[in-house]
This record gives sequence, structure tokens and C-alpha cells, in this order.
Amino acid sequence: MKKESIFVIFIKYVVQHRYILVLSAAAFIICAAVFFLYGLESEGLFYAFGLCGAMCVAVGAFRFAHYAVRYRERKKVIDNITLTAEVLQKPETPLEEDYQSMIFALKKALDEEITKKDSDLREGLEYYTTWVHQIKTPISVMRMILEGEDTDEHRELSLQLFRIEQYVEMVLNYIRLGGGSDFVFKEYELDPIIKRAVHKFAPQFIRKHIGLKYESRDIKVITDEKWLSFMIEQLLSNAVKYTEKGQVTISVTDDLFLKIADTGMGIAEEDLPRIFEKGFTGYNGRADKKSTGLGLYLCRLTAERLSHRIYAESEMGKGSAFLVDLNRYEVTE
Amino acid sequence: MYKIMIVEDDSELASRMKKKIESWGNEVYCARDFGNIIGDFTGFDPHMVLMDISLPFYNGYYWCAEIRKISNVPIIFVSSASDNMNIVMAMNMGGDDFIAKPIDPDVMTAKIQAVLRRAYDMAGKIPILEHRGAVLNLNDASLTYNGERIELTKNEFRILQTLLENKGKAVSRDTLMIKLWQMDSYVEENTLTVNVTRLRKKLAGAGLPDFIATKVGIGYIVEQ
Repeated sequence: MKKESIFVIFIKYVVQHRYILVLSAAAFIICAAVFFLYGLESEGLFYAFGLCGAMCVAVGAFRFAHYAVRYRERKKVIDNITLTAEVLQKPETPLEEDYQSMIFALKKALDEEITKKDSDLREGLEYYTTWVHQIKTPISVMRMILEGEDTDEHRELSLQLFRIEQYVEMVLNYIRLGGGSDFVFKEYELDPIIKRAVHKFAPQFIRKHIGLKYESRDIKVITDEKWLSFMIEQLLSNAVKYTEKGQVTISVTDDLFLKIADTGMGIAEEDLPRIFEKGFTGYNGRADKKSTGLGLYLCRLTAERLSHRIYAESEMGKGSAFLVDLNRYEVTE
Repeated sequence: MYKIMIVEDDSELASRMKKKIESWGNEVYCARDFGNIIGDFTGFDPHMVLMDISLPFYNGYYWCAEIRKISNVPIIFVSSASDNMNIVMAMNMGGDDFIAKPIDPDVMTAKIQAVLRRAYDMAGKIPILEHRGAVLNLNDASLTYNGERIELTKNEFRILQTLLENKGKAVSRDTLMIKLWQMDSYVEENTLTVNVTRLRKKLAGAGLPDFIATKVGIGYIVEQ
């Protein structure tokens, strides 16, 4: 906000003190009437009022200077308003005092409300985190039981259990991305990270008879292992989900782009710019009805936190490719 | 054979882990007195401890520190709280490795064996699988029959190992493929068929015909 001119402030000052002008005018008229009725010299009247006027102007100028300073201070406070009360000016009149009391009372009520909401939110998050940890024990037990036999049903149940695990993992990461961060940045070999993700998804690929092509490469990147794994798993999960036949190809280019390409249904051109938005499901997601529009959104969020970049390209009916740029860039912000 | 102690307060999970670890020939003890793990520990004197982190009374970090006061035995943490902070903490407290819940039985097996291999001299205790006089050496991936060494490819070895581990039980083609994928051999169905055919030929050539039988519609089996 630009600084207001002294003239504008003067107008406001005059408007605020208009009753003094009105009273002065009334006093002048009354005195003039009295002087006239007593048949006194009108020069005396002008002399007396001239002196009074000069005094008023002097006091008024002094008052106005004070007013202008405080006025500008107040404007500054309004422009940079924070939630603390210390910024308020010291009250000079009972009226100002009353208004400040009202502000403090409102602020106190607001603070209490915020504190309550905060603790509700934290309690909720704590509970979800606990729940995620609790649910992992029964999942472990079920997994161990299912591993004991090798029938069609057992394998199908294992796959479904794996999907539950993935959803649980997503909840946890959703909570973590929103709240405190949990990053360990260092140089990691990319190959084992990719391989571990592939191992996890192997049953899904095999079940759907989808091939996988991946050439190991000896490349190191600065990243967080856990979170990059999460991104790769999300991308692999999508690749398998939306591919009915053909194969998924994972490759790492010389300029440090990780590419996960599939031969699936592809993404409609009009959907492509929006797939990383929260809750966006697009044509594929709607046709599939399983999509929540969360996976790719979390991928983008994770990429941002890791300082990686994520892109998608696609051709309808031919397949999609997701690229993760693992280069290091100077921070510009 | 190793003695392994499990400190996990979910008794169902503990007993499943016990069964799995016993299946490759170890003695397993599940802690019962969570107020006095040290008592159980000194009583059983294990070669390795699997330690859950959230436990009644004291947590796993505490017991790890207590055990470290009296022993250098390898300790692997098992926990659902697998964020970076917890893993770093576990390692700082003197843990040797970390298994995240939900436990993947294959990952658990691999990690336990790796830590045991690092901690104890495995010489003289070569893990082998045997059937009809054929001996599969798991350390150098070789198959010996009648003193004759049969060379196996990586895939053939893994297929044979999986079948021998499940002796008497049919193993599906999907499961065999998953095992191969886990060795980073991303084979397709016909490749598996070719691998099995070659393996059978090698076995027959060495005097072991019909070693691997086909279960139609299911997969393969090495009969008991």
C-alpha cells in the first residue's frame, strides 16, 4: 500500500474535528450578536477572534502533527498485522482503551479456538499414525500365513493384501508429507532402489502377464531413499494398473532422468496437464473407478520435497511415460 | 543351526515368525516376560535377537541397550515405525539391521541370514539341500550327484532351490517366476518353460530322470 499524502491525512483530521469548527463558528456568531446588541466596536470582535484563531491554529498544527504521526503508525500496523497484541498503540482516550479491550477479548477467544483446533488435529494425526502402525502387525501375520501355501487363492489373497499394504503406506506418507518431514539426503546407488521396488511389484506383473525391461546402470543420485522408493512404487503401481498387455520399461538416461514407460491405455491429451493435481482422476481413473487421484499428487509433492521434478508424456492407446528428473539444481527461491 | 530369540509382543506374529525361521533349521525362542527380557536372554543365550520396538513396559531400544551391556550378539529390529528417524535411532542404539513391518518373509530370511553370515564363521556349515543323492550347495550354487558336478545357470539354480525347499509340495509357475524376478531376472512365461526343460535335461543327463514332475494346471513338484 502506498503512503498517503499529508493532504489526505489533513482532510481526515479536519473531518474528525469538524465539531470544533462548527462550535467556533457558532461562538463567533453569538459574540457578533452580543457585540452588535451592546453597540460595541466590531474591530474588538475581530481582534479577539483573530487572537483566538491564531491560538487555535497553533495548537491545532501541533495536534495535527501528532495525529499524522500516529495515523501513519496505525497504517503500518494494519499493513503488517500479526496475531500479537504488542503492536497496538498505547491508548490515549477512554474510547481507544475500550476498543483495545474489545480487540484483546476477541483475540483471546480466537487463540483459544485455534489452540483447540490444533490439538484436535494433532490428536487425529497421532491416532492415524498409530492406526497405521497397528494395522501392520495383522498384515504381517496374514502375509506369513498366506506364504505357507501356493494355490491360486493364496496368491490372489497375497496380491490383495499387498494392495492393502500400499494404501496403508500411502496414508502414512500423506500424513508425513503434510507434517514434519523425515528426510535423509545423501548419495544413493539408484540401481538397488529401483530393483527393490520391482521386487515388490513382481507378483502384480506376473499375475497380469506384463513384461518388464530394465537395464541395470551404475548411477548415483542425491536423494532420500525411502521417498524416492515411494515415488517409484507409485509409478510402477500405475504402470501395472493401466497396462493390459505388453510391457513396462524402466530406464535411466545419461542426463539423470528416470523413465518408467508402459504400453497401456495412455492418458487423454486434455487430462495430461492435470494428472498431478489432487483428486484429479481423469478419463482413465473414472473408467477404472479405483482411482482416488492421490497417487500422482503425492508423487508430485514428494518430488517437490526432494527437489526432483516429475513429468508425464503419453499417447492415447500407445502408452504413457513418467520421467523423474534427478538432477541437482540451484535453489532459486 | 543357530539359536534365535524373538522379542515381539504380538504372540500370533511371534509364533508365525518362529515357524518360518525354524523351517530352515534354527532353534527359536519367543520372549514371554516383557518386564525382564534380560532374564529370558541369558537363559536362552541366543546367537541373534529379533527385537520389536514398541513393547509393553520398556521399548526395544531400552532392551537393546541393556543387552549391549552384556553381549555383542547381533540384534535386528522389527518395527512398523520404519521412518528414517527410527531406523537411524535403531542403528545408533546398537542394532545390526532393520526389518520393516509388514514383514516380507523373504526379506526377513535374507536379512537374518546376511547378519548371521557376517557375525559368525560359516565355514564347515555349508547350507545344502539334498534329494535322491543330489546335493545343491546354496553357497556356490552348484549341484553335485555321484561326485559329478552339474553346472547350473542362475535361473536353473533358483528354480531347483525353490522346488527343493518345497519338497513334496507343488510350486506354481507364478511363484517360480516371482523368485526369478527377485533375482533380477525378469523372465516371461516361455522363458520359464525353456529354463525348466533345460534343467530337466541336465538332471536326466546326469542320471536323475523325472526329478521334476509337472502338476498340470498348477506348476512343478519334486516328489518326496
